[in-house]
Amino acid sequence: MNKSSALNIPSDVSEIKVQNFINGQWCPPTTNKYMSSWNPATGQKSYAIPDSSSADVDNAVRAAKSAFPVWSSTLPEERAAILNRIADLIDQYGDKLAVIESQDQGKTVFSARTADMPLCSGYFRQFARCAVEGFEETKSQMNAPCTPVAVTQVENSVLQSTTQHVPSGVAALITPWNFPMLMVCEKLAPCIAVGNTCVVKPTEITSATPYLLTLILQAAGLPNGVANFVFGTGVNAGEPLVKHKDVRLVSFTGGCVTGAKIGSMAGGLLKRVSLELGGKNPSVVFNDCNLEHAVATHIRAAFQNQGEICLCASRQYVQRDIYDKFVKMFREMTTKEVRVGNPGDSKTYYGPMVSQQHMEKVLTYIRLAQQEGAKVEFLVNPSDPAVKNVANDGRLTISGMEGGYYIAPTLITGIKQNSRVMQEEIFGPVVCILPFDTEEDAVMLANDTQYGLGSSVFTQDKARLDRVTKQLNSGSVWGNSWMNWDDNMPFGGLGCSGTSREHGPWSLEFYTETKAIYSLVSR
Amino acid sequence: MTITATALPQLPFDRSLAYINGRWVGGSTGQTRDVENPAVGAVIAAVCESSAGDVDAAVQAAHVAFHEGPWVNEYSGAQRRDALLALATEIEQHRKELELIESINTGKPIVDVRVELDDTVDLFRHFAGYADKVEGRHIAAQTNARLEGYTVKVPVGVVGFINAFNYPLCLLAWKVAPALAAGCTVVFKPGPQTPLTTQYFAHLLHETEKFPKGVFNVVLGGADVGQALVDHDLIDKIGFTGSVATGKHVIRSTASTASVRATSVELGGKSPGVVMPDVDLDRAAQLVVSGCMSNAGMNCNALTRLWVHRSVYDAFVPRLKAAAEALVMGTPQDERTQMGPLIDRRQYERVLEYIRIGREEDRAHVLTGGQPLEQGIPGYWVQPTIFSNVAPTARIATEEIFGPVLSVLEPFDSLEEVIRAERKSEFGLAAGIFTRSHSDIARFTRGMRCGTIWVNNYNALYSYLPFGGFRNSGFGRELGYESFDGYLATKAIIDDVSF
Repeated sequence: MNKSSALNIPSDVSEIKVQNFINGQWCPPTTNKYMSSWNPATGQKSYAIPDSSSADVDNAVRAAKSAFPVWSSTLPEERAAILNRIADLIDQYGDKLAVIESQDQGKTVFSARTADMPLCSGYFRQFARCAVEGFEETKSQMNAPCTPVAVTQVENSVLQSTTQHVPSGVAALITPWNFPMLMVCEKLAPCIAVGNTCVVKPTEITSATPYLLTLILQAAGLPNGVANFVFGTGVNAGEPLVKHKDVRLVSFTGGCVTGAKIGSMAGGLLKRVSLELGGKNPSVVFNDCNLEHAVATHIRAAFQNQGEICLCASRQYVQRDIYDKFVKMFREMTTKEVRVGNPGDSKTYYGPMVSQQHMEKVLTYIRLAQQEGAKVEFLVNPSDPAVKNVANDGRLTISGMEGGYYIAPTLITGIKQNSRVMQEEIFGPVVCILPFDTEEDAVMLANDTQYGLGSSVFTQDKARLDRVTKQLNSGSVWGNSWMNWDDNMPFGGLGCSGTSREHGPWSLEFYTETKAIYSLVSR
Repeated sequence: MTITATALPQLPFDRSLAYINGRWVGGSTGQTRDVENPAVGAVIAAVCESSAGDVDAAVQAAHVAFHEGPWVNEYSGAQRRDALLALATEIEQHRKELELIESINTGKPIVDVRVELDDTVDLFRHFAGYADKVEGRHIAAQTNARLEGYTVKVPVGVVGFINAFNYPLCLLAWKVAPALAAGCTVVFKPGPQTPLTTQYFAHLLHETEKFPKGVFNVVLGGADVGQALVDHDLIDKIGFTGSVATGKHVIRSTASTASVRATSVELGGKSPGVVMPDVDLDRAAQLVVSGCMSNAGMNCNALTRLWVHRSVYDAFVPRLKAAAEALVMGTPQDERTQMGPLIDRRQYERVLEYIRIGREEDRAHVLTGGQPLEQGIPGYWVQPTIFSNVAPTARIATEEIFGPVLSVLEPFDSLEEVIRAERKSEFGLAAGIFTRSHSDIARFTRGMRCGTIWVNNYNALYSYLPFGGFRNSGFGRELGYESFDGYLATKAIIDDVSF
């Protein structure tokens, strides 16, 4: 069924009027207080967002709780129809959404359009029909998937055993700023596909596309209260949401410190929680790799999305006999191809940092490396007309966008393994490249971290590839690649990188409760 | 009674043609076949008859599309998923035309065809959901630390389908949705009496522009064309719905080409119903009659032989008679019509012959019906017919009639005797039991050897529950994950990882 009226998606982020979305209505925060959001490319104020408080959270959770009985017993194929419509609308408005995403987050319009948006609609289509082994749809009383497991003999009777996966209830979805719309869709799609309702609390730093998503959800016919959005800070809105007595489960993606707090709050209240946190991801490059392919991949792994990806390979270990060659190639290719500037420009590789505060954090690490005596290089093409100035700490001044939060592609060598720069997540375009000698050294250095989200190994030696991929301690391990996906594979971290697995069947598992039902029937 | 002929709507393509390698083509011999409206026995269209050469062209196209084209070699599962979703939307948007064409060509009541369109759209969406979720297993070596094994699932290849006439579009969806979702390419032959909705389907698939040429092809014709398809060396799997005799012939044929091929066959049935003493007899009577007479009995899983417990026999049988006599027959496109004609003259004469056998050879009592609907009206109409007190070994009680004829057997005393008798049946497609006792249900569902058992309902089918037979009802499963898996082949890779 096609809606005849077009959605009002503005062409510029400054035209956005963010409101909370509760029970199918857009509304101001109960206190009428608002906060500002900035366009990181220019450093200018762009739009205002509600500074929501616990009263708004209460309203949102109440709406989600009321909507749960009907939504959880809606036929799976009816839920699927809505999810497919959401996907279609995301595709239809993808161009406009990408522009807004870029203006709000700083990423290039090109990456938002070609990477973020298709993944968003893809999630809704993937989870629309959860036809995954073990989740066969069966019409039971609550339309929850059942799997008949066994029929066994018990004396003169027959024992029928069936597992049932039921939706959990109201979920809290708390999302970060590196992929604003994508992070919401990644959680929202499986959460509501299995019949839960939810309250989404996006980070206050990037609220624009999550807000625009509410227009799409409404236009797709998602019933009132199934998905509610409350905008504001972690302290004022996120915390009351996590603690709310009617929230059954919490899915959080973000930084480790906040993650630990949320884990503690939710765990203490016996709620199920999924934490997808940061990483300080290593890559090990052996001397028998395809060097040019390896360097190109490592540049992408360092600088894609401004280095603001939890999986970015910020510690790159290269075998000593190819080290100098690797670093030289890395330096030359980056200087030539990685252009920083206006995110709307198709030639730009990456844009500004998401906020002033985050830019300052990244610059702090660069200065620290300099203070420690490491070699710090800013890989900027001197003849790039867009770059007016490269400061001593790597901050860039870009022509026409002098207020923006730009940082140069930063290469650090000669730094110690135990430096804070090597052990703490920087989340910016800063990469450390160090040499190693033996395979044992490489694995030891790679695993020497409190994190464990992603890792990569580059080698043409098949047996070594098998050994090393099995010894690297991270939730995802890439052989001769970086950040290539299969939607059915689990995603999550070890250690400080998090506690859960999502994507594919793992998301379905997280968002449902499993019951075992036994029925004894006399023969 | 007046049965009126409804005209076919305008079609956006040339219905005389077949669809091969992305183009609409006529049969190379120029022969055509008439297509009828069985409600009035009149010709409504003439379609081309494919030759062995046309079949060869279609199979070659499907073969090239599979081995060289992008469908399997470049597209991701998600792309195949999205193609099927787009196709489902096209079908949904054109459902009114499809419903009308199907109803006119088959004589099905329009109210029934609407449900079939719901199912058709749902099937494509359901199986699209499998397309992006194909997985193997990785088994870590248990005893040998060097060797590791894992499985990879790949599509079976080129699938040839031979469809029956009784659910032209719906059974097309049963077959084609999982096959395409698995990454196979298809050559499809509809029943010769019912090509029109298959052709329309090909048109809609073409309109999506998401299926590379050769991925889906249609050939048209009868037994000769089916034989050419079954005999073709480049077919990897045959899916067949039809009679036991033809099914056995198809199976033999798949072994006689240069390479053996996989088959999945859905054949006949003589599905029993069982009425236990503790049920609501009125409701059970309604369910039994619709279980038998739905689609004028042209349903492989029709409930055609009925066991009634002795203690309720006399109370139940009159209710059956009343329910059957209440069925409304009329112009199929009329909203009030509940039962339509038989598909063609051959089927009509076969059903009347079985009624004669029931009367004269089996000496069974005609409870109701037993005649053509009305002398002199055009079309192939037979009254809903019930025989009662039939011996369980009678011909009408054991042979598949494929028409609106129910045999109520002599009363029974114990469920055990029913299960014992049914396990000796040559068929094993479906069964139904009407009871409120959990232990009856447990015994019946464990004891019966058939593919589907309905408890207190009949004929309910879902895209996610497998359907198929035991013994002469066939093998292989349609619907459900099992059918999808049937279009995949498993490879095991064993790797010495230390080498």
